[in-house]
Amino acid sequence: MDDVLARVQKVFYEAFDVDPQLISVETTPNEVPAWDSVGHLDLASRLEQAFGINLDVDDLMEMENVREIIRIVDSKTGVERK
Amino acid sequence: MTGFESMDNLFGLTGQVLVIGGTRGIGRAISLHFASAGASVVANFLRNQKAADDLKATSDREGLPIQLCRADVTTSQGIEHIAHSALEGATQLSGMVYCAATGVHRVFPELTTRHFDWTFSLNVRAFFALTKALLGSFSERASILAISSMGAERALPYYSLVGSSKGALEALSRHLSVELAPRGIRVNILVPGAIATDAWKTLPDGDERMKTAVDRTPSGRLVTPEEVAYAAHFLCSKAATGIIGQTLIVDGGAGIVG
Repeated sequence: MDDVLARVQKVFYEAFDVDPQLISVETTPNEVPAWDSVGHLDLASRLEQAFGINLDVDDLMEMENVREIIRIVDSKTGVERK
Repeated sequence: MTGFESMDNLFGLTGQVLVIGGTRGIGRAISLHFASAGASVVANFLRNQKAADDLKATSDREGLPIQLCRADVTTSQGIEHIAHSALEGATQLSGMVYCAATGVHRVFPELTTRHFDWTFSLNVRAFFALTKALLGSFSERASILAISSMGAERALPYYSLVGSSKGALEALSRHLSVELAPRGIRVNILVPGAIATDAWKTLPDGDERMKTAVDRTPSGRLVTPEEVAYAAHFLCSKAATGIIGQTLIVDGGAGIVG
């Protein structure tokens, strides 16, 4: 998880110019003003590039917070967490 | 003897109006203005609870009838939830303003079909699905307003997906305007020009493009969300009863500069 979180934090920095250390698994759009509907797609696009995955419309719907983002990334990259 | 309509009758808004994407930017301005003009507003949002709570706090402080509805309009569950919430405290809807929009801002070689799906899902498909779901709930003089973009007609940088989706939204709105007019439901399109909102920050070269937009505008400033709300108010009012399937541009004159 730490490696994935670190990479997700980097994506957040690139997408929203936000301090990566402020991004935790609990982070939601409430904490990141630029994470609106347009920001969400930019974030998704950058996550695809960063992790080499494809996200469909249903995945976008579920990406409500960073924890869910990590879960989806893991599911796409075949990682199972306990 | 011919009587004249009172200003309240002509320009006052009544009934319940649904504003999709109604808690930030243009949508927020429309929600507040419509409520102050007499409508009861249901303001939909999805992601930013803080912005939604801020709108509610403002409306409560000002005594404006605005209720929030959190729902993802790209899902059938979200539409069902909105359809239910939109009619709380009302039997019919007197209007819907579709402000929600999204998009991937890249040059064409960097775009994928998934980007296409994401963008069109909210910008066009959800408008279609929502209008269909609510069709039986609109009152006889209801007004549906689609908020479009200059990018529907002009090739703006990094805007091929959003622009084409707005073009589709406009075409759909025009077709709907003809089909729904016999029911007394008017459909029109509102095109804001460059507006001073946070949306610029999401665009590549956003600051530079905003400056260019200001330089192109005859008034020397960007149009405000409130000015867009005033135009939306007019289109949804009785004064605009004869306006069907039209596109009103609110850009401070930038679009006609040579």
